Amino acid sequence: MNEARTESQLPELANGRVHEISGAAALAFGLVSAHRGTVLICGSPAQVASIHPEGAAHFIDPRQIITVPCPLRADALWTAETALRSGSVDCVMAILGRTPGLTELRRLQLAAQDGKALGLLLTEQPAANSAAETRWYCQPALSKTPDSTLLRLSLYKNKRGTMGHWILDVKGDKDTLDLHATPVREPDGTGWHARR
Amino acid sequence: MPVDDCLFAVTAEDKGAVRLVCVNLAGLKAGLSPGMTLADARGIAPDLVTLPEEPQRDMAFLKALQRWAEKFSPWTSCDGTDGLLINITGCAHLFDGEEAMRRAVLEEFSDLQVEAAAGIADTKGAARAVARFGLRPGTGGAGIIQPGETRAALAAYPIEALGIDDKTIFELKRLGLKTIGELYPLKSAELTRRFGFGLLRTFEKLMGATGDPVIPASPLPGFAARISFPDPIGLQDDVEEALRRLIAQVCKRLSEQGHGVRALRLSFQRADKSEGHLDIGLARPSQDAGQIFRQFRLKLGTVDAGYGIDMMRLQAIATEPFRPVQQRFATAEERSQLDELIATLGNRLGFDRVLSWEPVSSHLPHRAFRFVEAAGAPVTPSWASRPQKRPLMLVGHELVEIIEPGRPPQAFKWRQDAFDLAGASGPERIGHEWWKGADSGAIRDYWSVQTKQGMRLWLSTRPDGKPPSWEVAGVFP
Repeated sequence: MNEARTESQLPELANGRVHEISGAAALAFGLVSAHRGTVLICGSPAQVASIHPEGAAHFIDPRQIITVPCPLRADALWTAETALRSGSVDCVMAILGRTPGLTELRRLQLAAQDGKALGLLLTEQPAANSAAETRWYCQPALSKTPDSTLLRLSLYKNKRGTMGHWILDVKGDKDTLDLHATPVREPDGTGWHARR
Repeated sequence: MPVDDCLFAVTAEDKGAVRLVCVNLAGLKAGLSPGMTLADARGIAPDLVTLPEEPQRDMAFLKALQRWAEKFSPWTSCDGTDGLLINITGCAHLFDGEEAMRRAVLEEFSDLQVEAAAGIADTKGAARAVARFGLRPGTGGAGIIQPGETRAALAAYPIEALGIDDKTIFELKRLGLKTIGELYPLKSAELTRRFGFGLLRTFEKLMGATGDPVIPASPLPGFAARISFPDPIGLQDDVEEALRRLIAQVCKRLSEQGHGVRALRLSFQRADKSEGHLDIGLARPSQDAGQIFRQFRLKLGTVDAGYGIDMMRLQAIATEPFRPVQQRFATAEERSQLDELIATLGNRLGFDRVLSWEPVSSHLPHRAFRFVEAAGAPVTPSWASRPQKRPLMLVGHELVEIIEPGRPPQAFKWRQDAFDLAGASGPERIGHEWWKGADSGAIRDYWSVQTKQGMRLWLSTRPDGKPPSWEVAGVFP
């Protein structure tokens, strides 16, 4: 069965809330977080169509994924809200260009609460303020061995908990994902804050 | 204006020209004929009235006529696009014999204002020939071929009355065979050698040597319900209540017949006789009234009731045999919930926008999958894992700017970011699909590259490129 093991104090992405992830490895981190249950991915058609199922299969069974390409941002937001509220998918990933406004995000939060689903917003240009539960910045990191995938995570907003920086080591395949997170004290200059 | 009083024709676009398909009697007398272009017809008859052809409505009318014709005999079927076949074996005496029956049928048709010709004979083909060609001079014109006289009666009929394809008719005419009677002295072996078995079989069916039964169209179970109101309604609550009753009726009939519905249409007629309709689709065949109602309710807000709605009709457009299967043990409930979500999304965005992946047997990375509609998609086989890692995102082929050359380049620029090589594995050579021809793509070498900046990229190059150009084909997580 699907099993993801995390060995460390990496905060869990809480169910029933909406979280925001930005950075070059946002999609990978999103799939790792969502790797149990069914996933609905909505967003701009170019972004959705560029996802390669064989690549995604390292983290998640592609059969669990439904994709909804939406040329209009309003359609993408509606899709995300409807899917979150229905409670029939475990995770909704909305690939949006920029962070939705406070009202839009509040609606998504309420929908996620109703449906007890995990909402993930993948944004390219994160706004200064966001109503998301947690905000993450995720970049690939230089890994020494070819079979592991290192991701550098920065948690720079957390409504209920502490912030921090981690190096996440993703090993294994879609059936047994082995996650190993190492806390990093000093962000080494490529994190979110350095970028701004 | 009644159609009979003017020159009237139905037109259709064919081979780049508007042509006449069907001409009324007045038009035929004026020299118009089917197949003529509209421009020619207008030259002959400037006051010609035309309407475009609507084959689907014609077919629906013919089907209705076929059901109507069951009053004469239970064995009826449609013949082409403009004919009805009735097997009257054992029925004629109920109408005082064949002659009286033929007259009765024609009278009923003229009451319906349908111009018709009728023929009665021993075989289906002979009766068709009499009906369609019996009025021509030299064919007798009685409309009935007495039992056992088929061969003699058909001898004078033109070769077209065989009811065979145009090419064979052309060939027969080229040989100088103009009437059916001219085929009689020829040896069947010679006919077969020249024209194949098709002509012989048609001929044998015509003469009754081979069976050619009338196959009655099986009546389609109709899943529709309508409701008329004594006074027009306009409140959304009333419309919802009426809709709920209609859905309950349709679902009851569906479960009796063991069918599930995939698409439904709600038509309503307003007090001013204008019409409107709503369509919904479902992800999987369903008999669940609640689910159907919820899909409709999302769209009911768009209905314009105008002066009030007089009549509502709910019709199942697409149905499939319904097998209540249990998908998996624990997740049957989840699956039906997911289907409802897919239906909700599909009804607003279009079902072609709610997609899932299906593996395709191809070694080319961008052809290894295709999108299929998530609605009603069968469970796809599992995704076999490849020995080589594949990128998470395909970016097409974006050229990189080489700063320090190498194989792969030691330093390069992509999307305005500079990258330095930390490690690379490859090459993996992926050839084109040779069975698609030589120009289906080039052979490429792919390298999976770890940069010092962290990004893991999939670089590709042409092995024969001089100087080598490098492109980013994908991004690893």
